[in-house]
Amino acid sequence: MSTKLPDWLTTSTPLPTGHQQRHFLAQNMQRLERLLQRFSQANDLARPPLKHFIAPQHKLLAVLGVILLLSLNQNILLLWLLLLGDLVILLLLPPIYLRQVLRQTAVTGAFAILLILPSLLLNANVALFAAKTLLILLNLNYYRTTTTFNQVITALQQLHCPNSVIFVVDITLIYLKMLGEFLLQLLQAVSLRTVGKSKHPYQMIGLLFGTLYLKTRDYALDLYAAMEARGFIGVYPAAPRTRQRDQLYLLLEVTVFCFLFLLGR
Amino acid sequence: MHIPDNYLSPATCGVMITAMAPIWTVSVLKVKAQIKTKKETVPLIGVAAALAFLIMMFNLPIPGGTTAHAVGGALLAVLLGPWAACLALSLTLLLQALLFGDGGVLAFGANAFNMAVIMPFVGYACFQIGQRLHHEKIGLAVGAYLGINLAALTAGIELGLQPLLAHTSTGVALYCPYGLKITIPAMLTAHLLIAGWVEVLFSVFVYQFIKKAAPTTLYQAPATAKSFKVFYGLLIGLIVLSPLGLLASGTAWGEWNNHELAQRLHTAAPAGMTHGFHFNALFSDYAIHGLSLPLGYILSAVTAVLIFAVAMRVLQHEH
Repeated sequence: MSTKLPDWLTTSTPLPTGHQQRHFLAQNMQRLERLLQRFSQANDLARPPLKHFIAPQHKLLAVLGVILLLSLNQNILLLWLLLLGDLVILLLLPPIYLRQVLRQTAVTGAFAILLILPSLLLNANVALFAAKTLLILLNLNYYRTTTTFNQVITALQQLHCPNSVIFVVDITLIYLKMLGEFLLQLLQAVSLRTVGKSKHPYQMIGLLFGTLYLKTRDYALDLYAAMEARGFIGVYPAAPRTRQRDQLYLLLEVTVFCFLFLLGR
Repeated sequence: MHIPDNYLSPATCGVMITAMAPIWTVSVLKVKAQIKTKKETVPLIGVAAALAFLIMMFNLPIPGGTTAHAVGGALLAVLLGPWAACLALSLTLLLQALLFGDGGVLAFGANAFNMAVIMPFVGYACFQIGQRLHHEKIGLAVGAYLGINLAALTAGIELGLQPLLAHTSTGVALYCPYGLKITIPAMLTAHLLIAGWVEVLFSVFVYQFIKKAAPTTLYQAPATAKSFKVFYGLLIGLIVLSPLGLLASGTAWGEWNNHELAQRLHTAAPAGMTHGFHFNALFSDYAIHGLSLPLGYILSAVTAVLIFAVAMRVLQHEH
Protein backbone atom coordinates (compact mmCIF):
# COMPACT_ATOMS: atom_id res chain seq x y z
CA MET A 1 0.00 0.00 0.00
CA SER A 2 1.47 3.25 -0.99
CA THR A 3 0.82 6.29 1.02
CA LYS A 4 0.64 9.52 -0.75
CA LEU A 5 1.37 12.73 0.99
CA PRO A 6 -1.43 15.21 0.87
CA ASP A 7 -0.96 18.08 -1.51
CA TRP A 8 -0.55 20.72 1.17
CA LEU A 9 2.42 18.88 2.59
CA THR A 10 4.31 18.70 -0.66
CA THR A 11 3.95 22.30 -1.63
CA SER A 12 5.81 24.84 0.38
CA THR A 13 4.03 28.00 1.32
CA PRO A 14 6.46 30.64 2.52
CA LEU A 15 5.47 32.74 5.46
CA PRO A 16 4.49 36.24 4.48
CA THR A 17 7.45 38.03 6.03
CA GLY A 18 8.27 41.60 5.44
CA HIS A 19 11.47 41.19 3.48
CA GLN A 20 12.71 44.68 3.92
CA GLN A 21 12.01 44.65 7.63
CA ARG A 22 14.05 41.50 8.16
CA HIS A 23 16.80 42.98 6.11
CA PHE A 24 17.10 46.10 8.17
CA LEU A 25 16.97 44.18 11.45
CA ALA A 26 19.76 41.90 10.27
CA GLN A 27 21.76 44.86 9.02
CA ASN A 28 21.48 46.68 12.32
CA MET A 29 22.37 43.56 14.26
CA GLN A 30 25.53 43.25 12.20
CA ARG A 31 26.47 46.85 12.84
CA LEU A 32 25.86 46.46 16.56
CA GLU A 33 27.93 43.30 16.67
CA ARG A 34 30.78 45.11 14.98
CA LEU A 35 30.52 47.92 17.53
CA LEU A 36 30.49 45.49 20.45
CA GLN A 37 33.48 43.69 19.02
CA ARG A 38 35.51 46.84 19.59
CA PHE A 39 34.79 46.46 23.29
CA SER A 40 35.45 42.74 23.57
CA GLN A 41 38.62 41.61 25.27
CA ALA A 42 38.73 38.38 23.29
CA ASN A 43 39.31 40.52 20.25
CA ASP A 44 42.25 42.23 21.89
CA LEU A 45 43.79 38.95 22.99
CA ALA A 46 43.69 37.59 19.46
CA ARG A 47 45.98 40.35 18.24
CA PRO A 48 49.55 41.06 19.23
CA PRO A 49 49.60 43.78 21.86
CA LEU A 50 50.78 47.18 20.71
CA LYS A 51 53.79 48.79 22.28
CA HIS A 52 53.00 52.34 23.26
CA PHE A 53 56.10 54.44 23.07
CA ILE A 54 54.48 57.72 23.84
CA ALA A 55 52.01 58.78 26.51
CA PRO A 56 48.34 58.90 25.44
CA GLN A 57 48.08 62.67 25.86
CA HIS A 58 51.00 63.22 23.49
CA LYS A 59 49.51 60.89 20.96
CA LEU A 60 46.26 62.87 21.02
CA LEU A 61 48.15 66.17 20.76
CA ALA A 62 50.26 64.81 17.93
CA VAL A 63 47.18 63.77 15.96
CA LEU A 64 45.56 67.14 16.51
CA GLY A 65 48.78 68.88 15.51
CA VAL A 66 49.18 66.87 12.32
CA ILE A 67 45.55 67.46 11.30
CA LEU A 68 45.93 71.16 12.02
CA LEU A 69 49.14 71.31 9.97
CA LEU A 70 47.53 69.43 7.12
CA SER A 71 44.51 71.66 6.94
CA LEU A 72 46.42 74.92 7.45
CA ASN A 73 49.04 74.42 4.78
CA GLN A 74 48.87 74.17 1.03
CA ASN A 75 52.51 73.27 0.64
CA ILE A 76 53.24 70.09 -1.35
CA LEU A 77 56.65 69.62 0.28
CA LEU A 78 55.07 69.61 3.72
CA LEU A 79 52.43 67.08 2.67
CA TRP A 80 55.21 64.92 1.31
CA LEU A 81 57.19 65.08 4.54
CA LEU A 82 54.13 64.22 6.60
CA LEU A 83 53.36 61.30 4.30
CA LEU A 84 56.89 59.98 4.77
CA GLY A 85 56.51 60.33 8.53
CA ASP A 86 53.21 58.48 8.41
CA LEU A 87 54.70 55.68 6.32
CA VAL A 88 57.53 55.19 8.82
CA ILE A 89 55.04 55.02 11.68
CA LEU A 90 52.89 52.58 9.72
CA LEU A 91 55.93 50.37 9.12
CA LEU A 92 56.33 49.96 12.87
CA LEU A 93 52.81 48.57 13.20
CA PRO A 94 52.15 44.81 13.31
CA PRO A 95 50.67 43.72 9.95
CA ILE A 96 47.21 43.00 11.35
CA TYR A 97 46.83 46.59 12.53
CA LEU A 98 48.44 47.92 9.38
CA ARG A 99 45.89 46.15 7.19
CA GLN A 100 43.06 47.52 9.31
CA VAL A 101 44.32 51.11 9.10
CA LEU A 102 44.77 50.91 5.34
CA ARG A 103 41.39 49.24 4.77
CA GLN A 104 39.58 51.90 6.79
CA THR A 105 41.46 54.68 5.02
CA ALA A 106 40.61 53.21 1.63
CA VAL A 107 36.90 52.96 2.43
CA THR A 108 36.53 56.40 4.02
CA GLY A 109 38.83 57.94 1.40
CA ALA A 110 36.76 56.51 -1.46
CA PHE A 111 33.68 58.25 -0.06
CA ALA A 112 35.51 61.53 0.33
CA ILE A 113 36.86 61.42 -3.23
CA LEU A 114 33.48 60.48 -4.67
CA LEU A 115 32.10 63.56 -2.98
CA ILE A 116 34.59 65.97 -4.51
CA LEU A 117 34.75 64.47 -8.02
CA PRO A 118 32.00 66.72 -9.42
CA SER A 119 34.08 69.72 -8.40
CA LEU A 120 36.41 68.93 -11.31
CA LEU A 121 33.80 70.77 -13.34
CA LEU A 122 34.31 73.80 -11.13
CA ASN A 123 38.00 73.99 -11.89
CA ALA A 124 38.96 73.37 -8.27
CA ASN A 125 42.32 71.98 -7.18
CA VAL A 126 40.97 68.50 -6.57
CA ALA A 127 44.35 66.79 -6.43
CA LEU A 128 45.67 68.83 -3.52
CA PHE A 129 42.38 68.67 -1.66
CA ALA A 130 42.14 64.90 -2.15
CA ALA A 131 45.72 64.37 -1.04
CA LYS A 132 45.17 66.40 2.11
CA THR A 133 41.89 64.66 2.91
CA LEU A 134 43.44 61.21 2.44
CA LEU A 135 46.37 62.09 4.69
CA ILE A 136 44.04 63.38 7.39
CA LEU A 137 41.95 60.23 7.15
CA LEU A 138 45.08 58.08 7.35
CA ASN A 139 46.16 59.85 10.54
CA LEU A 140 42.73 59.66 12.11
CA ASN A 141 42.36 55.98 11.27
CA TYR A 142 45.80 55.28 12.64
CA TYR A 143 44.79 56.97 15.87
CA ARG A 144 41.50 55.18 16.26
CA THR A 145 42.96 51.76 15.44
CA THR A 146 45.88 52.00 17.82
CA THR A 147 44.16 53.72 20.72
CA THR A 148 42.01 52.05 23.31
CA PHE A 149 39.09 53.70 25.08
CA ASN A 150 41.06 53.85 28.30
CA GLN A 151 43.89 55.68 26.63
CA VAL A 152 41.52 58.38 25.41
CA ILE A 153 40.30 58.87 28.95
CA THR A 154 43.84 59.00 30.31
CA ALA A 155 44.75 61.50 27.58
CA LEU A 156 41.84 63.75 28.52
CA GLN A 157 42.84 63.47 32.18
CA GLN A 158 46.44 64.41 31.49
CA LEU A 159 45.33 67.35 29.39
CA HIS A 160 43.57 68.71 32.49
CA CYS A 161 40.02 68.18 31.33
CA PRO A 162 37.62 68.85 34.23
CA ASN A 163 36.86 65.82 36.36
CA SER A 164 33.17 65.94 35.61
CA VAL A 165 33.80 65.68 31.87
CA ILE A 166 36.10 62.69 32.21
CA PHE A 167 33.68 61.02 34.53
CA VAL A 168 30.85 61.43 32.04
CA VAL A 169 33.00 60.24 29.10
CA ASP A 170 33.91 57.18 31.15
CA ILE A 171 30.25 56.43 31.89
CA THR A 172 29.37 56.88 28.22
CA LEU A 173 31.95 54.37 27.07
CA ILE A 174 30.95 51.79 29.66
CA TYR A 175 27.26 52.16 29.00
CA LEU A 176 27.72 52.24 25.26
CA LYS A 177 28.69 48.60 25.63
CA MET A 178 25.91 47.80 28.10
CA LEU A 179 23.18 49.52 26.10
CA GLY A 180 24.55 48.09 22.86
CA GLU A 181 24.31 44.58 24.28
CA PHE A 182 20.81 45.26 25.53
CA LEU A 183 19.73 46.56 22.13
CA LEU A 184 21.31 43.57 20.39
CA GLN A 185 19.42 41.18 22.64
CA LEU A 186 16.21 43.09 21.98
CA LEU A 187 16.79 42.91 18.23
CA GLN A 188 17.54 39.20 18.39
CA ALA A 189 14.40 38.59 20.42
CA VAL A 190 12.32 40.60 17.99
CA SER A 191 13.68 38.90 14.91
CA LEU A 192 13.18 35.44 16.47
CA ARG A 193 9.66 36.06 17.56
CA THR A 194 8.05 38.16 14.86
CA VAL A 195 6.19 36.24 12.24
CA GLY A 196 4.61 38.04 9.36
CA LYS A 197 4.53 41.70 8.71
CA SER A 198 4.21 44.40 11.31
CA LYS A 199 1.91 47.24 10.44
CA HIS A 200 4.65 49.77 10.35
CA PRO A 201 8.34 49.21 11.00
CA TYR A 202 8.55 52.55 12.78
CA GLN A 203 6.06 51.40 15.39
CA MET A 204 8.52 48.71 16.34
CA ILE A 205 11.36 51.23 16.40
CA GLY A 206 9.35 53.34 18.82
CA LEU A 207 9.05 50.30 21.03
CA LEU A 208 12.71 49.35 20.73
CA PHE A 209 14.11 52.77 21.51
CA GLY A 210 11.42 53.57 24.04
CA THR A 211 12.46 50.47 25.96
CA LEU A 212 16.10 51.38 25.49
CA TYR A 213 15.47 54.84 26.95
CA LEU A 214 13.72 53.38 29.99
CA LYS A 215 16.67 51.03 30.42
CA THR A 216 18.95 54.08 30.17
CA ARG A 217 17.11 55.68 33.06
CA ASP A 218 17.28 52.50 35.11
CA TYR A 219 21.01 52.23 34.56
CA ALA A 220 21.51 55.89 35.49
CA LEU A 221 19.47 55.55 38.69
CA ASP A 222 21.27 52.35 39.70
CA LEU A 223 24.61 53.93 38.96
CA TYR A 224 23.79 56.98 41.02
CA ALA A 225 22.64 54.82 43.92
CA ALA A 226 25.86 52.83 43.72
CA MET A 227 27.92 56.01 43.60
CA GLU A 228 26.15 57.45 46.59
CA ALA A 229 26.51 54.22 48.55
CA ARG A 230 30.26 54.31 47.98
CA GLY A 231 30.55 57.92 49.07
CA PHE A 232 31.25 59.46 45.68
CA ILE A 233 31.80 63.20 46.01
CA GLY A 234 32.59 64.05 42.42
CA VAL A 235 36.36 63.66 42.55
CA TYR A 236 37.91 61.31 40.08
CA PRO A 237 41.05 59.32 40.97
CA ALA A 238 44.09 61.53 40.47
CA ALA A 239 45.84 61.34 37.15
CA PRO A 240 49.11 59.40 37.10
CA ARG A 241 52.11 61.74 37.37
CA THR A 242 53.71 62.74 34.11
CA ARG A 243 57.21 61.43 33.62
CA GLN A 244 60.14 63.60 32.70
CA ARG A 245 60.46 61.73 29.43
CA ASP A 246 56.93 62.85 28.54
CA GLN A 247 57.78 66.47 29.16
CA LEU A 248 60.79 66.19 26.88
CA TYR A 249 58.60 64.56 24.30
CA LEU A 250 56.15 67.44 24.51
CA LEU A 251 58.99 69.87 23.87
CA LEU A 252 60.07 67.86 20.86
CA GLU A 253 56.50 67.74 19.59
CA VAL A 254 56.06 71.50 19.83
CA THR A 255 59.41 72.11 18.12
CA VAL A 256 58.56 69.81 15.23
CA PHE A 257 55.13 71.41 14.90
CA CYS A 258 56.61 74.92 14.77
CA PHE A 259 59.29 73.86 12.32
CA LEU A 260 56.79 72.21 9.97
CA PHE A 261 54.40 75.11 10.31
CA LEU A 262 57.10 77.61 9.33
CA LEU A 263 58.25 75.33 6.54
CA GLY A 264 54.76 75.15 5.12
CA ARG A 265 54.22 78.88 5.04
CA MET B 1 25.49 65.70 8.41
CA HIS B 2 28.82 64.99 10.12
CA ILE B 3 31.24 67.39 8.43
CA PRO B 4 34.62 65.69 7.96
CA ASP B 5 37.99 67.36 8.41
CA ASN B 6 39.52 69.47 5.63
CA TYR B 7 36.09 70.56 4.34
CA LEU B 8 36.07 73.58 6.63
CA SER B 9 38.98 76.00 6.84
CA PRO B 10 40.82 75.97 10.19
CA ALA B 11 39.63 79.54 10.74
CA THR B 12 35.98 78.46 10.49
CA CYS B 13 36.66 75.53 12.81
CA GLY B 14 38.25 77.93 15.31
CA VAL B 15 35.30 80.29 15.14
CA MET B 16 32.82 77.46 15.65
CA ILE B 17 34.69 76.06 18.66
CA THR B 18 34.87 79.56 20.15
CA ALA B 19 31.14 79.93 19.57
CA MET B 20 30.52 76.60 21.30
CA ALA B 21 32.59 77.43 24.41
CA PRO B 22 30.00 79.73 26.05
CA ILE B 23 27.17 77.37 25.08
CA TRP B 24 28.91 74.44 26.75
CA THR B 25 29.65 76.57 29.82
CA VAL B 26 26.01 77.61 30.15
CA SER B 27 24.93 73.99 29.60
CA VAL B 28 27.18 72.80 32.40
CA LEU B 29 25.84 75.52 34.72
CA LYS B 30 22.24 74.72 33.78
CA VAL B 31 22.78 71.02 34.31
CA LYS B 32 24.45 71.72 37.66
CA ALA B 33 21.27 73.52 38.69
CA GLN B 34 19.26 70.56 37.44
CA ILE B 35 21.42 68.22 39.52
CA LYS B 36 20.43 70.01 42.72
CA THR B 37 16.85 68.87 42.31
CA LYS B 38 17.47 65.65 40.39
CA LYS B 39 20.70 64.11 41.54
CA GLU B 40 20.78 61.28 39.03
CA THR B 41 21.33 63.73 36.16
CA VAL B 42 25.13 63.32 36.13
CA PRO B 43 25.18 59.63 35.36
CA LEU B 44 22.11 60.13 33.18
CA ILE B 45 24.00 62.43 30.79
CA GLY B 46 26.70 59.81 30.36
CA VAL B 47 24.24 57.03 29.72
CA ALA B 48 22.14 59.29 27.48
CA ALA B 49 25.22 60.03 25.37
CA ALA B 50 25.53 56.29 24.84
CA LEU B 51 21.84 56.21 23.87
CA ALA B 52 22.38 59.07 21.39
CA PHE B 53 25.26 57.14 19.90
CA LEU B 54 23.08 54.07 19.38
CA ILE B 55 20.28 56.18 17.88
CA MET B 56 22.70 57.65 15.35
CA MET B 57 24.05 54.21 14.56
CA PHE B 58 20.68 52.57 13.99
CA ASN B 59 19.73 52.51 10.32
CA LEU B 60 16.03 52.82 9.62
CA PRO B 61 14.36 51.53 6.48
CA ILE B 62 12.90 54.09 4.11
CA PRO B 63 10.59 53.31 1.22
CA GLY B 64 12.66 52.64 -1.86
CA GLY B 65 15.04 50.19 -0.24
CA THR B 66 17.73 52.45 1.21
CA THR B 67 18.26 53.42 4.83
CA ALA B 68 18.81 56.58 6.81
CA HIS B 69 19.50 57.23 10.45
CA ALA B 70 17.90 59.65 12.89
CA VAL B 71 19.87 62.02 15.12
CA GLY B 72 17.30 62.27 17.87
CA GLY B 73 18.19 65.82 18.90
CA ALA B 74 14.63 66.98 19.49
CA LEU B 75 13.68 63.71 21.17
CA LEU B 76 16.58 63.84 23.62
CA ALA B 77 15.75 67.47 24.42
CA VAL B 78 12.20 66.47 25.31
CA LEU B 79 13.36 63.48 27.36
CA LEU B 80 16.29 65.06 29.23
CA GLY B 81 15.85 68.80 28.82
CA PRO B 82 17.61 70.83 26.12
CA TRP B 83 20.77 71.65 28.11
CA ALA B 84 21.44 68.10 29.15
CA ALA B 85 20.67 66.97 25.59
CA CYS B 86 23.20 69.50 24.28
CA LEU B 87 25.89 68.06 26.53
CA ALA B 88 25.01 64.45 25.77
CA LEU B 89 25.00 65.03 22.01
CA SER B 90 28.29 66.97 22.15
CA LEU B 91 29.86 64.10 24.01
CA THR B 92 28.58 61.60 21.46
CA LEU B 93 30.00 63.71 18.63
CA LEU B 94 33.37 63.93 20.40
CA LEU B 95 33.59 60.16 20.77
CA GLN B 96 32.46 59.64 17.20
CA ALA B 97 35.17 61.96 15.94
CA LEU B 98 37.96 60.52 18.08
CA LEU B 99 37.15 56.83 18.18
CA PHE B 100 34.83 55.99 15.34
CA GLY B 101 36.00 58.22 12.50
CA ASP B 102 32.62 59.88 12.04
CA GLY B 103 32.93 63.64 11.59
CA GLY B 104 36.14 65.63 11.78
CA VAL B 105 38.25 66.36 14.84
CA LEU B 106 38.83 69.99 13.90
CA ALA B 107 35.28 70.28 12.63
CA PHE B 108 33.97 69.11 16.02
CA GLY B 109 32.85 72.63 16.96
CA ALA B 110 30.86 73.05 13.77
CA ASN B 111 29.29 69.61 14.07
CA ALA B 112 28.42 70.23 17.71
CA PHE B 113 26.82 73.55 16.81
CA ASN B 114 24.67 71.98 14.10
CA MET B 115 23.63 68.81 15.84
CA ALA B 116 24.01 69.46 19.57
CA VAL B 117 22.72 73.05 19.70
CA ILE B 118 20.39 73.81 16.80
CA MET B 119 18.59 70.48 16.79
CA PRO B 120 17.73 70.10 20.50
CA PHE B 121 16.91 73.77 21.07
CA VAL B 122 14.75 74.24 17.98
CA GLY B 123 13.08 70.91 18.69
CA TYR B 124 12.45 71.77 22.31
CA ALA B 125 11.10 75.25 21.52
CA CYS B 126 8.59 73.79 19.06
CA PHE B 127 7.65 71.09 21.56
CA GLN B 128 6.96 73.72 24.22
CA ILE B 129 4.80 75.74 21.84
CA GLY B 130 2.94 72.55 21.01
CA GLN B 131 2.54 71.82 24.70
CA ARG B 132 0.97 75.21 25.28
CA LEU B 133 -1.47 74.60 22.45
CA HIS B 134 -2.17 71.09 23.84
CA HIS B 135 -0.73 69.33 20.80
CA GLU B 136 2.58 68.04 22.13
CA LYS B 137 3.03 65.40 19.50
CA ILE B 138 2.53 67.86 16.66
CA GLY B 139 4.92 70.24 18.37
CA LEU B 140 7.55 67.52 18.66
CA ALA B 141 7.04 66.45 15.03
CA VAL B 142 7.39 70.03 13.79
CA GLY B 143 10.38 70.54 16.08
CA ALA B 144 12.14 67.40 14.87
CA TYR B 145 11.54 68.30 11.23
CA LEU B 146 12.49 71.96 11.61
CA GLY B 147 15.48 71.14 13.82
CA ILE B 148 17.12 68.69 11.45
CA ASN B 149 16.47 70.90 8.44
CA LEU B 150 17.81 74.01 10.13
CA ALA B 151 20.87 72.03 11.17
CA ALA B 152 21.31 70.86 7.58
CA LEU B 153 20.91 74.44 6.35
CA THR B 154 23.59 75.64 8.77
CA ALA B 155 25.91 72.85 7.69
CA GLY B 156 25.23 73.83 4.08
CA ILE B 157 26.03 77.46 4.81
CA GLU B 158 29.22 76.55 6.71
CA LEU B 159 30.39 74.40 3.81
CA GLY B 160 29.24 76.79 1.10
CA LEU B 161 31.03 79.77 2.63
CA GLN B 162 34.42 78.07 2.30
CA PRO B 163 35.11 78.98 -1.35
CA LEU B 164 34.41 82.61 -0.41
CA LEU B 165 36.54 82.55 2.74
CA ALA B 166 39.54 80.52 1.66
CA HIS B 167 40.84 80.55 -1.87
CA THR B 168 44.10 81.10 -3.70
CA SER B 169 44.88 84.32 -5.52
CA THR B 170 43.45 82.79 -8.67
CA GLY B 171 40.18 82.10 -6.93
CA VAL B 172 40.57 78.32 -6.59
CA ALA B 173 38.93 77.08 -3.41
CA LEU B 174 41.24 75.57 -0.79
CA TYR B 175 38.70 73.66 1.26
CA CYS B 176 35.15 72.62 0.39
CA PRO B 177 35.09 73.37 -3.35
CA TYR B 178 31.33 73.88 -3.62
CA GLY B 179 29.69 77.26 -3.19
CA LEU B 180 26.45 78.12 -1.41
CA LYS B 181 24.49 77.55 -4.60
CA ILE B 182 25.41 73.87 -4.49
CA THR B 183 25.82 73.03 -0.81
CA ILE B 184 22.53 74.45 0.45
CA PRO B 185 20.28 72.67 -2.07
CA ALA B 186 22.33 69.48 -1.72
CA MET B 187 22.03 69.43 2.07
CA LEU B 188 18.45 70.60 2.19
CA THR B 189 16.89 68.34 -0.45
CA ALA B 190 18.20 65.22 1.25
CA HIS B 191 16.94 66.39 4.63
CA LEU B 192 13.66 67.96 3.52
CA LEU B 193 12.65 64.88 1.56
CA ILE B 194 14.06 61.94 3.53
CA ALA B 195 16.06 62.47 6.70
CA GLY B 196 13.57 65.00 8.09
CA TRP B 197 10.70 62.55 7.90
CA VAL B 198 12.77 59.72 9.34
CA GLU B 199 13.58 62.00 12.28
CA VAL B 200 9.90 62.93 12.71
CA LEU B 201 8.64 59.35 12.69
CA PHE B 202 11.42 58.18 14.99
CA SER B 203 10.89 60.97 17.52
CA VAL B 204 7.10 60.69 17.55
CA PHE B 205 6.97 56.91 17.91
CA VAL B 206 9.55 56.79 20.71
CA TYR B 207 7.87 59.71 22.49
CA GLN B 208 4.48 58.05 22.15
CA PHE B 209 5.80 54.86 23.68
CA ILE B 210 7.46 56.59 26.63
CA LYS B 211 4.47 58.83 27.22
CA LYS B 212 2.34 55.71 27.48
CA ALA B 213 4.78 53.49 29.40
CA ALA B 214 6.43 55.92 31.81
CA PRO B 215 5.17 59.48 31.53
CA THR B 216 6.87 60.54 34.76
CA THR B 217 10.34 60.11 33.30
CA LEU B 218 9.89 62.98 30.83
CA TYR B 219 11.75 66.20 31.51
CA GLN B 220 9.68 68.86 33.22
CA ALA B 221 10.62 72.40 32.36
CA PRO B 222 11.20 74.74 35.31
CA ALA B 223 8.87 77.70 35.76
CA THR B 224 8.81 79.90 32.68
CA ALA B 225 9.52 83.17 34.49
CA LYS B 226 13.08 82.00 34.99
CA SER B 227 13.65 81.23 31.35
CA PHE B 228 12.40 84.68 30.47
CA LYS B 229 14.97 86.13 32.86
CA VAL B 230 17.71 84.42 30.88
CA PHE B 231 16.21 85.82 27.72
CA TYR B 232 16.25 89.34 29.12
CA GLY B 233 19.83 88.86 30.29
CA LEU B 234 20.81 87.81 26.79
CA LEU B 235 19.05 90.81 25.33
CA ILE B 236 20.84 93.25 27.64
CA GLY B 237 24.14 91.55 26.89
CA LEU B 238 23.56 91.93 23.17
CA ILE B 239 22.71 95.61 23.57
CA VAL B 240 25.92 96.23 25.50
CA LEU B 241 27.90 94.25 22.97
CA SER B 242 26.36 95.98 19.96
CA PRO B 243 29.29 98.42 19.42
CA LEU B 244 31.35 95.30 18.62
CA GLY B 245 29.97 95.73 15.13
CA LEU B 246 32.31 98.70 14.82
CA LEU B 247 35.32 96.43 15.11
CA ALA B 248 34.55 94.94 11.72
CA SER B 249 36.13 97.22 9.17
CA GLY B 250 34.04 97.79 6.08
CA THR B 251 30.38 97.36 5.47
CA ALA B 252 28.57 94.05 5.73
CA TRP B 253 28.37 92.07 2.52
CA GLY B 254 25.52 93.34 0.40
CA GLU B 255 24.94 96.42 2.58
CA TRP B 256 27.16 98.78 0.60
CA ASN B 257 25.93 102.22 -0.32
CA ASN B 258 26.26 103.32 -3.90
CA HIS B 259 29.69 104.84 -3.45
CA GLU B 260 31.11 101.68 -1.87
CA LEU B 261 29.44 99.56 -4.50
CA ALA B 262 31.00 101.58 -7.28
CA GLN B 263 34.39 101.08 -5.66
CA ARG B 264 33.88 97.34 -5.46
CA LEU B 265 32.57 96.95 -8.98
CA HIS B 266 35.25 99.25 -10.44
CA THR B 267 32.50 100.74 -12.59
CA ALA B 268 29.63 103.03 -11.83
CA ALA B 269 26.92 101.59 -9.56
CA PRO B 270 24.02 100.04 -11.51
CA ALA B 271 21.69 102.69 -12.87
CA GLY B 272 18.71 101.18 -11.10
CA MET B 273 20.44 101.77 -7.77
CA THR B 274 21.55 105.34 -8.36
CA HIS B 275 18.14 106.41 -9.54
CA GLY B 276 16.23 104.16 -7.19
CA PHE B 277 14.32 105.00 -4.06
CA HIS B 278 16.45 106.57 -1.35
CA PHE B 279 15.35 106.52 2.20
CA ASN B 280 17.17 108.79 4.61
CA ALA B 281 16.74 107.24 8.00
CA LEU B 282 16.68 109.37 11.11
CA PHE B 283 19.87 107.81 12.42
CA SER B 284 21.67 106.84 9.25
CA ASP B 285 24.38 104.18 9.83
CA TYR B 286 23.51 104.23 13.57
CA ALA B 287 25.30 107.56 14.01
CA ILE B 288 23.41 110.24 15.89
CA HIS B 289 24.68 113.72 15.29
CA GLY B 290 26.75 115.00 18.19
CA LEU B 291 27.17 111.63 19.91
CA SER B 292 30.12 109.26 19.90
CA LEU B 293 29.70 106.27 17.62
CA PRO B 294 29.63 103.45 20.24
CA LEU B 295 27.06 105.36 22.27
CA GLY B 296 25.02 105.80 19.10
CA TYR B 297 25.16 102.04 18.55
CA ILE B 298 23.95 101.28 22.07
CA LEU B 299 21.17 103.86 21.83
CA SER B 300 20.09 102.41 18.48
CA ALA B 301 19.97 98.92 19.96
CA VAL B 302 17.95 100.09 22.99
CA THR B 303 15.56 102.00 20.72
CA ALA B 304 15.01 98.96 18.50
CA VAL B 305 14.36 96.72 21.51
CA LEU B 306 11.94 99.24 23.06
CA ILE B 307 10.04 99.68 19.79
CA PHE B 308 9.67 95.90 19.52
CA ALA B 309 8.62 95.69 23.16
CA VAL B 310 5.93 98.35 22.61
CA ALA B 311 4.74 96.50 19.50
CA MET B 312 4.51 93.25 21.50
CA ARG B 313 2.61 95.05 24.25
CA VAL B 314 0.11 96.36 21.69
CA LEU B 315 -0.47 92.84 20.40
CA GLN B 316 -0.65 91.25 23.87
CA HIS B 317 -3.98 89.90 25.06
CA GLU B 318 -5.62 91.41 28.10
CA HIS B 319 -5.75 88.98 31.00
